[in-house]
Formats: sequence, C-alpha cells, structure tokens
Amino acid sequence: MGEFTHLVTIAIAVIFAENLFFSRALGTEVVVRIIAHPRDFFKFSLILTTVTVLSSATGWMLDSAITALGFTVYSTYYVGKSLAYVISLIGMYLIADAVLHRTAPVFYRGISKILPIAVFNTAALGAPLLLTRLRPTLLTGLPGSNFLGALVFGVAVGIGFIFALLLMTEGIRQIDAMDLPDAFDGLPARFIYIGLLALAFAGVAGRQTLL
Amino acid sequence: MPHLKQVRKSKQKPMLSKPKKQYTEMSGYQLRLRRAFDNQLDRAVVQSAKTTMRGLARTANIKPIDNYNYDDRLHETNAKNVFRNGLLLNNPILFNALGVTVLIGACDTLFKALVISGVTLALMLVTELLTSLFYKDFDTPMRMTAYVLTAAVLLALIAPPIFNRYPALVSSLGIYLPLLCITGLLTVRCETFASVNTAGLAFADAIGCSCGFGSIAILFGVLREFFSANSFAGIIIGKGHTLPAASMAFFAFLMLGLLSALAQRLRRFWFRRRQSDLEDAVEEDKL
Repeated sequence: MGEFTHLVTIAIAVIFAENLFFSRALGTEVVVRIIAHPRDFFKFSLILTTVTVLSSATGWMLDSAITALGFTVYSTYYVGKSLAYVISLIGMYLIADAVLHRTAPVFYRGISKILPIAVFNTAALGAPLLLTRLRPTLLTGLPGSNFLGALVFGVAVGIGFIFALLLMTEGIRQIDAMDLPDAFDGLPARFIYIGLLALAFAGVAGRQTLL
Repeated sequence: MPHLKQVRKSKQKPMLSKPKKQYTEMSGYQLRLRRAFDNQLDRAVVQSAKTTMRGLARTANIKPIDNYNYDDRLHETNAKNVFRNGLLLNNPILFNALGVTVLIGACDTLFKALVISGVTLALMLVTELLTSLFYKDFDTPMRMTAYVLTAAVLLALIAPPIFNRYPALVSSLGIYLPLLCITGLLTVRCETFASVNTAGLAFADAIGCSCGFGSIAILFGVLREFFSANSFAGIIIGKGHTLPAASMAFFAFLMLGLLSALAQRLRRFWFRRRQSDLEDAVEEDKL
C-alpha cells in the first residue's frame, strides 16, 4: 500500500503540482511549435509519451550500469551519463524510423515530420536526467519499486506534457483571435500566457518543490 | 505596383460584410451578443488571412502586402546579413523561441549565463560547420542523428575541464548543461540553415545565433540575479527588497514575453524607418 501511494504521489506531482513544462520549462520550444498544428496533437503526444517512458526506463538501467561500473568522479559520471542517454535516444529514433518505414509506411508518412521533433527535444532527454538526479531522494527506500517508479515517472512526464498542451491550446487560440497591439502579437503574447499559467502552478506547488 | 497609401487604404476595408438587416429584428441582448460574435469572427478571419499571407510570401519569397516590413537588402544571403539576423533581427530566442528551456532553467545568475553562452558558442560553431561541410548529403534521420551526436560528444569533451575548474558552478547547472546538445537552437539552425548553405555562411550563422542567444542569456542572468538576491556577479550591491521568485520559471517566462514584445516593436520600427529611407531614395532618383 505504501509503495502504491508513493507511486501515485510521484505521478500527481509530475503531472499537476510540479508539471515539468511549467516548473522547469522542459519542452517549451516543442510546445510553441506544435501548438500551430493542432491536427498533430494526438500523434505527437502519443510518440512523446512513448519516448519519455522508454527514455526513463533506459535511463534508469544505464544509471545503474554506470554506477555499478565504478564511475565515482562526478564529472565523468555526469558526462558519461548524458552521452549515454543521448545515444539511447538516437538508437530509439533510428530503430523507430527503420521499423515504421518498413512495416507501416502509411503511418510513417503521417508521422515522419513530427518524429524527430518528438524524440529530440528537451523533455525527452530531461526526463531521464531528472529521474536519475532525483533517484537518491525520490525513489529509494522502497524495495523493488525503483524500476516501476522510473516507468511511472516516464508516463507521468508524458501525461503532464499532454495536460500542458491541452491547457495552452485553447488559451492560445483565443489569444491569436484577439486584436492585440503589434508589439505583443504572436510569440510575446504566448510567452506571457505561459508565464501566467506557470505562476498559477507555482502558486499551487510553492517554492519548496518535491522534485 | 499600387502606391503605399492605396495599399494601406485597401487594408482598412472590413473583410466580412455584417448582415445589418438582421440586427434590426433583434432584441438588445441578442444584438450585443451578435455584434460581439461578429467582431470576434472578423478578428479571427483577419488574423488568419494575415498569417496565411505572410506564410505564402515567405515561402514564395515574394513581397508581402504590408511592405513596410520588407527590405530586399535584408534577404541577400551574405555573411554580414546572416550574422546581423542571428544577433538582432531574427534573434533565435526573442523571435523564434529556440533555446528557451536552457535560458529559463539555467540562466538565473551571471556566471551560469556565461558558462551556458560559451558552451553554446562552441557547440554551434563545430556542429554547423560540420553540417555544412559533411552532413548536408545525409538523409534526414542520419542528419538529425549526426547533429545531436556531434554536439553530445563535443559536450563530453568540453564539460570535464570546466567542471574541474568550477565544480560548484557546473553542478548548479544541473540537467540544463546536457540539454544544450539537444536544444532546438542547435537542431533547428543546423537543419534549416547550415544544411543548405556554405561553410562560411554557416560559420556566420553560428556566431550570430550564439551571440544573440548569449546576449539575451547574460541579460537574463544579470536581471534575475539582481532581482532575486540584489547582487551582481555574486557581489551584493544593495540592501533593498529582494524578490526570490525571480529565479523561478514563471518570472523568466513573463520577462521573456515583455522583452520579446519590446524587440518586436523595435524591429518593426527599424523596418519602417528603413522602408521610408528606401522610398526617399527612390523619390530622389526619380527627381
């Protein structure tokens, strides 16, 4: 029961209280771009959630392996870990590209443009980096739950991203239809809108954050 | 070509004709509601038309209707224009939202901003040069892979010496330093510019975009450090009221929005002045 409660707490924290998009600005560049193509939302969100789950799981395993190999110097550990995560993301992208291109060409044609954006973005790399950085404090003390915790974390990051996208879509649609001053037309208004939403989330979570 | 005043006059015509006859048959509340709806619809249609026209003009490389924001000389692809566009007129952060994650997450003190700017410059320079020299012939998946892998390997070489010299500083950057090798600033500039241009132009673009990113990052670092701790480069310079929330993401988003609006305003002002100078020069030629 304690383990389940812990996992639910992680999920709620990552999705709502400390949404990584609003509290750490992970994936901002992608959101600003994808918001202009509402038709791709579903496909993009699905791919991104899959990527965050896989990258979190892979990150957890790589982190365990690097620690077990005895890299104790922080810089080596830090740099080697980052490089390993990037290589794992590249591997995922190349495998997905090759497999989908051969097995489902019609589906591949639909997602070929958004696949690199969904894989190579700061949310996809930020999830495993944050997970392993938080691992000593967030996911310890629960026997056998570490890998499960990593999976839950990856799913929660993806869902939190979808939540942020949904929250922003309607607001930005309204903003785009408004007669704003020339200076605020477009990107500035979007940034300010995101800032106000982030302020609301910060008001809920406070300065002492769980993550 | 129609005269500028004629073009501006024709732009003022409403794009939707309102059904005035129906208004007379409505009650006061219905009338207000209908007018509000029509106004919203008009605005949406005008906005959509504006966006479409700009997009079409940009794609086809033709002169847009609102020609005050167009100058032929700015679209000449030479190193000076490319550098200036990266630094000011098409700043990657203020006008394209590239590299925003690292800016908002990491640049809350001057020293952090300096480290981030320096590493960005090194990564962009090498990656864009390699892209314009070698990677441009690869197919799309391999090209994307090459950008990210090059940047990651380079970061793995650059980061340890910086860490050995400033361990606390690099540790405080947390997850944001590794994120530099996958940020949109690098991948988008490599894909849209370096992969279709020569090495010289790619070099100019890398320098211009890095300087544009670095200048905004340093400005953010200085302002956020001052607001959150009343200090500059770690030295306390005042005893006034501090605003610790300045180091949080929402403050950076709001500041970025305001700065972006200011930059947009200045850019339009600059384009208008440039356009009027051009018109004066044309008039003088005619005389």
